[in-house]
Amino acid sequence: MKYLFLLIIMSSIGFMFYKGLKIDPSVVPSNLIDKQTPNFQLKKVGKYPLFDPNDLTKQEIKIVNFFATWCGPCKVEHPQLMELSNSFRIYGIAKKDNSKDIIKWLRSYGNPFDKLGLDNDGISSIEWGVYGLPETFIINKDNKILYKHIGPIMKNDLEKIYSILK
Amino acid sequence: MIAELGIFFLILTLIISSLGFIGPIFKFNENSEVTQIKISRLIFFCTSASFIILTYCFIISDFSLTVIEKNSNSQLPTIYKITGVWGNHEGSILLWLLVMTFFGFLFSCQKKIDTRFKEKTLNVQNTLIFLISLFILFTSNPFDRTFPPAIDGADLNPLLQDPGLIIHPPFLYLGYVGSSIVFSISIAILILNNNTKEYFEILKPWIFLSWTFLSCGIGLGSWWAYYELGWGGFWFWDPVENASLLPWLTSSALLHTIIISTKKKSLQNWTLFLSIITFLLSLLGTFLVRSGVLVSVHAFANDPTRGVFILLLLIAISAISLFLFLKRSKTFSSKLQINLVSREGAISLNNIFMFTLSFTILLGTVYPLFSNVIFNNKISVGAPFFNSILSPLMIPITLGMMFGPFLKWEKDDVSNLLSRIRILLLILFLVSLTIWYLNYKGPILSVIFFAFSAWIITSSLFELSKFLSFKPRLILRKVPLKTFSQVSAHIGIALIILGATGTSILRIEQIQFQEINEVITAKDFKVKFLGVKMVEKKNYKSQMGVFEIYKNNKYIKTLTPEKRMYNANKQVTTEAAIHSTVFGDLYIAIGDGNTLNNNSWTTRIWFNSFTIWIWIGVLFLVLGGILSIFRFIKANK
Repeated sequence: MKYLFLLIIMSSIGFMFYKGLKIDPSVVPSNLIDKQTPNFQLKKVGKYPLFDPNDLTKQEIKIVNFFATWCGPCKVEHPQLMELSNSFRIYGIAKKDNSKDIIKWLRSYGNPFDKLGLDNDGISSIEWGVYGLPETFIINKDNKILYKHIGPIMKNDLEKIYSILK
Repeated sequence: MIAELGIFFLILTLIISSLGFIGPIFKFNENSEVTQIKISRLIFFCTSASFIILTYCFIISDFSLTVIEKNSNSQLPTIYKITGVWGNHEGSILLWLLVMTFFGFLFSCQKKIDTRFKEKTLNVQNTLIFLISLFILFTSNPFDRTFPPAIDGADLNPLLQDPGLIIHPPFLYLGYVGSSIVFSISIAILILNNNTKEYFEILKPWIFLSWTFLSCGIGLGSWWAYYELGWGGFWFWDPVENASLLPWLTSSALLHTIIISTKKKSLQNWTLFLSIITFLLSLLGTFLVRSGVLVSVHAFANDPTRGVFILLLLIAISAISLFLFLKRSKTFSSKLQINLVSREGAISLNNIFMFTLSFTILLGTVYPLFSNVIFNNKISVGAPFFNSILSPLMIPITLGMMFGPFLKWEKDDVSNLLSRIRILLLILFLVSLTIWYLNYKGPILSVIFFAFSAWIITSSLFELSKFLSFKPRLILRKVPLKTFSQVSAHIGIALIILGATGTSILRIEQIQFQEINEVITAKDFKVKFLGVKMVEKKNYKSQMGVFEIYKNNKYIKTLTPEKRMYNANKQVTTEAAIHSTVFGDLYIAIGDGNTLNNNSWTTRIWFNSFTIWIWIGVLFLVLGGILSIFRFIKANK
């Protein structure tokens, strides 16, 4: 009897840890999913068109990307954004950055953004619940958040992103 | 080329330890030259050679090795090239193996043990070593080559470029892995199915040894996080911290039961159970840390195949050892009844509470994982949970520490005890009044915990007072080492309670935009901000805040917290600046500049009461451990 008990305990603990190995604990579902996009206000970057809340009311699926020129992973993500920009509108929000660096960055790596803006005090990022960079939101026709991607979008993430966008 | 020599020695370790593993199956250990003792010594030599070779490759910056390319850099100071060896998964598991073989080697050198018992113990230890070396060779080979070889490495994580990394991991491993020999001895006792006291006497010093190392390792880690990493606190109930606390708690319980097992031949099965559990918890800790199943500040790179391998090891070792324990525990169950009011009674009760504490912490640590798997529900269990279970359990543990040492062995009664310690009770009452008078304005919990701390210290000192004689003049007669080590360890715990209470409950925190020349008051200190300097060092650039500290309008010193940006991987780290006194620490960290006002910066200023006593407490704790070990060495001569 006691051996059976031991067997059951060990196997259930083993099973749970094994299942746990396949789950990424760092993925936290955003509270904003299925909700309307939060309000925000950004500063203009150079001569680039300014991104404002009205852009999100357009009847189409769109992407909002939080980035910064000081953020290494954002550079890794950039080619994937360029690819996505061929089929979708991407809006960029640069967090705690400066216009000069952003302009240099967009000139050297290409500009995937339809419009963009600078969130210098980080308050808009807080509204969006952004805690790390880069973070990417997919927003549907009705201005609701469908999906949030934390960390750089890598090549193998593109498939998933495309499936949501469709 | 030299790296191939390293892997050669690792394979040699695997082959030789496999001989230890299959020895009893093919019965070639008995009456032959291939004894487990020889195997233990040989694999210690091979693993050391392999470890030294890896260290050498780090020193000469051989970037053709993947580990070195990812975790080192040619600009790194030599000391951090060396510590980089265990600043990554592969190297640290090799260190783990080295420590394991080291304990096998030490045990093989211990005298006065009958050969059969020694062989059996080393057989278990060598089997464990065989399993770990399999793990290293198949999932975490530190000598893996990268092609084409890199020109320079990616650098060691800046947080790890710190003197703390030199000593914290090795000590922690000595404690963690030290429990492997405790485990091996216990399994050998179970296999031989013999409840003689001598075997438990052999077990005793090893428990004290691994416990001392573990205390030291945890203390150093906490000290490192607080002073060097600028985390602002000393304990965060992070899964990885809990993973080290769990075996510490069970081995602290073990320290107490082993005394009864050797003295009275009772509680033997409980001792064996705790020995097994302590090692299993160490393994579990390794699994949690290395597989990345839980979110932790100790964010190590994780790899699912490694996780599966450690999980298999963990399940196999747990199942076999617990099965053996259940099968043989009858031999070790005692017929003697334990009186509640006796030294044994106090120790048993305390053991129950300590075990409850560790089990609850374990539950809190793994619960987020279970909840995710079973209910598909993301939750996190944090400090409030752990603090709220710790507080009530501290009451019986404190009472046990206070009165336990005054109880007689076997049988005692309460009225007798009370009359024996009536002076102590009077002193305790006066101490409580003083504590209350000094702190009654503060939060009630802090008053309670300060009282606990003071009570433990008072009764521990009272215990020493038995050795004072007043006639003809005041002298301290020779105190037995045993008493000294117990008193020292208990005072250590009391000081940790004092420091922990001050730092967590009485902390004063101020976060603000501070303008240049603005003065902020924290407790008795005035902090004046003078501005920010740019400093450039060999491998980083830094923004250094300059703060002048005044107390009673008298200048004390200048503190310079920094925000560093490392060149190699552009990582930013915060270096706090701390002014430590016996009453508390003034702790300053500097953040970003205000974009609207060029003259002001975010500054965080804390006053942490009595923090320094945490580390003094750890010193007392470790001193207690060292004194016991010293006693065993003396007795063994």
